[in-house]
Amino acid sequence: MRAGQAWRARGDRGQTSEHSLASSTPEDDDCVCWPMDLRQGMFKARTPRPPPGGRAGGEPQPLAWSDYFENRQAVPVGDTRFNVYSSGLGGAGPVFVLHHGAGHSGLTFGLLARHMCAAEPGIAVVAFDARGHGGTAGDNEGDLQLERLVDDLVGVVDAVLPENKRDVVLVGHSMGGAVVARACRRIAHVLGLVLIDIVEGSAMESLHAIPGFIVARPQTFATVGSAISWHIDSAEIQNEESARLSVPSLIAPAGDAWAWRTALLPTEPFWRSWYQGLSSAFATAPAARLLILAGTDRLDKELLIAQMQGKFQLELLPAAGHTIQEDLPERVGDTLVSFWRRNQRLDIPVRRINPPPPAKAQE
Amino acid sequence: MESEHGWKFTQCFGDKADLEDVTEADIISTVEFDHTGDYLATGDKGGRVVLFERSDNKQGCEYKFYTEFQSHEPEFDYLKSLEIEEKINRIKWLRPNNNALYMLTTNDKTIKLWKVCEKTLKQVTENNLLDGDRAPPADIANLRLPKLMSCENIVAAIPRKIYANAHTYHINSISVNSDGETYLSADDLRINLWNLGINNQSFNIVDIKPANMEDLTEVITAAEFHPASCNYFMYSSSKGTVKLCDMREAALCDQHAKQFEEVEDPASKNFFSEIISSVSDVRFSADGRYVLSRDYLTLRLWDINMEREPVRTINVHDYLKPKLCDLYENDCIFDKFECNISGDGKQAMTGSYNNYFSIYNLADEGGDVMLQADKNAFRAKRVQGPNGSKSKVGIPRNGRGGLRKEDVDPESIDYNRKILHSSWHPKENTLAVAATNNLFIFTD
Repeated sequence: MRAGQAWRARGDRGQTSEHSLASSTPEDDDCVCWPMDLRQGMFKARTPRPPPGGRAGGEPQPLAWSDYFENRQAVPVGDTRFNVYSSGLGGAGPVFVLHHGAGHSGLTFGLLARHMCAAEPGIAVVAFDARGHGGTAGDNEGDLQLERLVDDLVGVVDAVLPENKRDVVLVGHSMGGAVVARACRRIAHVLGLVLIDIVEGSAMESLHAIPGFIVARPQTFATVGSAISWHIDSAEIQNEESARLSVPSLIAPAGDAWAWRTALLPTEPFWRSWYQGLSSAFATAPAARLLILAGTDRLDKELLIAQMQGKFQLELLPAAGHTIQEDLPERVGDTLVSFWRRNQRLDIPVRRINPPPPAKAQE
Repeated sequence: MESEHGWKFTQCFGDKADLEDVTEADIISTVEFDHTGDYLATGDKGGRVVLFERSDNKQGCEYKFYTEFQSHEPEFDYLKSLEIEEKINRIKWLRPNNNALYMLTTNDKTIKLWKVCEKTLKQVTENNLLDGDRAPPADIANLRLPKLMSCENIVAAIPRKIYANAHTYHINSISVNSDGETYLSADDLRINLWNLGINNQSFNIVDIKPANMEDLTEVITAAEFHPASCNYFMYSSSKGTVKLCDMREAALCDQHAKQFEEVEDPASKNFFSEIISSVSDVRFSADGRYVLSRDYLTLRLWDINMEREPVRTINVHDYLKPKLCDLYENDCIFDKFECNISGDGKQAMTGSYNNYFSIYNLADEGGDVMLQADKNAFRAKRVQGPNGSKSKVGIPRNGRGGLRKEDVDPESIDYNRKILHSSWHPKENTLAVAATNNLFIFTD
């Protein structure tokens, strides 16, 4: 390997070498191999990949929900009308109920839903906007207590799938994971419980940093396109197509600009309630369990013990950011489908080995 | 009507094969005129240095091959398991002395001081034994000194000093001080000061290495001593700044005396802003009052006394702005173009893709010339711009015709042919331009 062979690398599409500047041992980083010149390596390591196809011309355009979900309906539950996206409700296969995280919306699962329904006909997917998010409207938008969110989820599932006999897989991303873990026992036929990128210990440790992050992001956007661009440039969402679909539902018109649909700072009192006890609720849930992590979180002590005891399946997707379902929808989709397959109930007809003795004649 | 600018292509060295057939070792990596302009040095990727000597004949000036020597060999660093390329990154001339030429050449890790002089080779024509034909002399009185005869003059290159093991990162610049005694060498993170006579010691004068390499945000891209004041030098960085330092202030010149940076409007920042703001080359004018810096898309002329903004910003190839995404994909956005300023400080030159390069008039706007260092350039047709614009390309031998920058189509440009290295004659308007493995000489 020759250092600095920039000339020979011309014409190769994509990079073949690692751009890590980290050294194997901190004290002798002078011994690190620099695969290319330091300036180039530094730029590539520090900046995320640029979006494909030049964006220098125009801003990214929003995409329509209808390309990703079959159906969209307003479902009244209690004092709120929930905006529910769904596909495949008429089928006979399993139903994946998807709950998004705080500050997101049901469209975060758009690419995932489309991939899964295409890969496995018969599957149904239900993703709704939680209270105070996306297209859901009602009173009490700020009440994001865990109990309230669980009630909302149960209510939506009952309304969309009345008298459901199909298998249900509950999938929750971030805050949504906390909701589905508690709702598991209240919904019928729950076959599997999936948490995406949420671990109680890591979440509790990072709660103090979240207000800073909320405040640091832009409070308004001039156009929808610039909001999409911000999410991509700041690596919030690494998948451009998914950002174009989901970001417009995260902002709402405010004057002649756009502001965040959901004010996250006022929800701070509820954060602890979401995550406290999540690990034990997950490990003891009466269903098959799957945890999908981007690998940046480490398992906390409770989950580590549970994993060693074989209580849940762990899937690591290190190439993704926090919104794994948006960054790698195909990988997540395939994982969910095979998780369902592997945990299907086996309907083995009971076969008697010894036929019952014939009834004795009355003596 | 002859053009006002009579830039003419006069010579071309190197075999003019197609790009695909070029041996990588023949690719020219640096070009430098000496202080008189009588000698021209080129270094290539194979570690060789080729010198040309000027000879004036009735057609004007002409450069002829003078000598060639192998300056650096490929090495292997056993400790780090890295190959050290023999490519010559820079050549800088020293003042000639005793009928010998002196120059510093450097690759990524080692700087060498070369003495090039003409030697008369003498051969022994007659010795005591006549090469075995004669019996040894009987007594001491018959012993004769062997007869020598001068047979030919050869040009010999002798390495006088080797300045090694002072740089962890790749050396990108060397610059000789006006005091004639010291010189600096700059790599990506450090600048060292050497005494020409001492090769086992150097002083570190700038160090921007962060404590943790993961926090690396800036590298040094070029450095140069002030042409007249022996205490000033400047260096440019990948963040788009040019810093002027005074060695009298402190032993470690991490604090700059002046910083030339044009602060960009944060609203116009995009993904590529930082990469294209990286300064690839920086030069002092001969009088030391101006600084010329080159970043990916522009050429900037700074007055030493004004740090806030450049006196003049020239867009070199604006038509590449919409193509930045593709240029990032094929790594061309990291190309380091050199810039040159004429001896009288009135003109500046820099290269572009498709072997185009442009010469700009610094004194006033307009009068810019765009040329192409191509073997077919001198056969270009005569084309006139509709508004009589003065930008021309592919000037034929008689100095007429050409195309304009506005006519360049970024889709049809060959991004593998680029003018990265060049040198301006110190006393007249003659340019030596390296195009891959060929050297072109243009004269005004």
